[in-house]
Amino acid sequence: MSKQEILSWTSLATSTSFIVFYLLFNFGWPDAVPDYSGSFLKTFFNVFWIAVVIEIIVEISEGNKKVQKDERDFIIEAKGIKAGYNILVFAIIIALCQIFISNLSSTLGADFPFPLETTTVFHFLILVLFLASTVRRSIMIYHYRKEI
Amino acid sequence: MEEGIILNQIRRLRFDHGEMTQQELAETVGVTRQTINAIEAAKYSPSLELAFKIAAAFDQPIGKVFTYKTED
Repeated sequence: MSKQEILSWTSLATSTSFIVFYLLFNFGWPDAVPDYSGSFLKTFFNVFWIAVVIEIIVEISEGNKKVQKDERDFIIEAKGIKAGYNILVFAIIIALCQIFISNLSSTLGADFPFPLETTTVFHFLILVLFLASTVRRSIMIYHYRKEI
Repeated sequence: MEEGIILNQIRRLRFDHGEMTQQELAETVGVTRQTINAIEAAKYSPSLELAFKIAAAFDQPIGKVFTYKTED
């Protein structure tokens, strides 16, 4: 497994952990499901720090190699970035449309089911940011496994 | 247009050059060992520049290292 592939795995793990932490700390555990939030949080905390430790070890052990990244790594990275970028653009368009429709409906006095709340849009954009990162890394791992 | 595949003689050439390892070839041409492995297995088509570097590493013309093959 190359350094870039290992870093893709660790980045995927940290992004996923961030999504879980963010959801749990901001929205809490869903009421309909038995409360396993403690063990859930502990598991993802372990995933997070193990990924960080692996990343540090890889940087130290592979950092002195002459070639850190080559043309194949750049091509694979570009494929991941393309997907992540598309998700971000799509999310920003949705957020802008939501703001527009919400403002329009309040001007017209209509009842819009998803009224504009700044915090909602903020949460949405933060989550999409982490989601885009997760998708980007997943696509990179897929191509590394498939070997393009 | 019909899709083809870029075949190569890297494994044989490595063997002919004193059983050169993938790592040694990778260091010579400035890529990772995984990339040489992917090229050898015809899973990744190298850039023209890298193809020339690989050919130069074996002191061969590029046509002797890489060949383009179509389905027919």
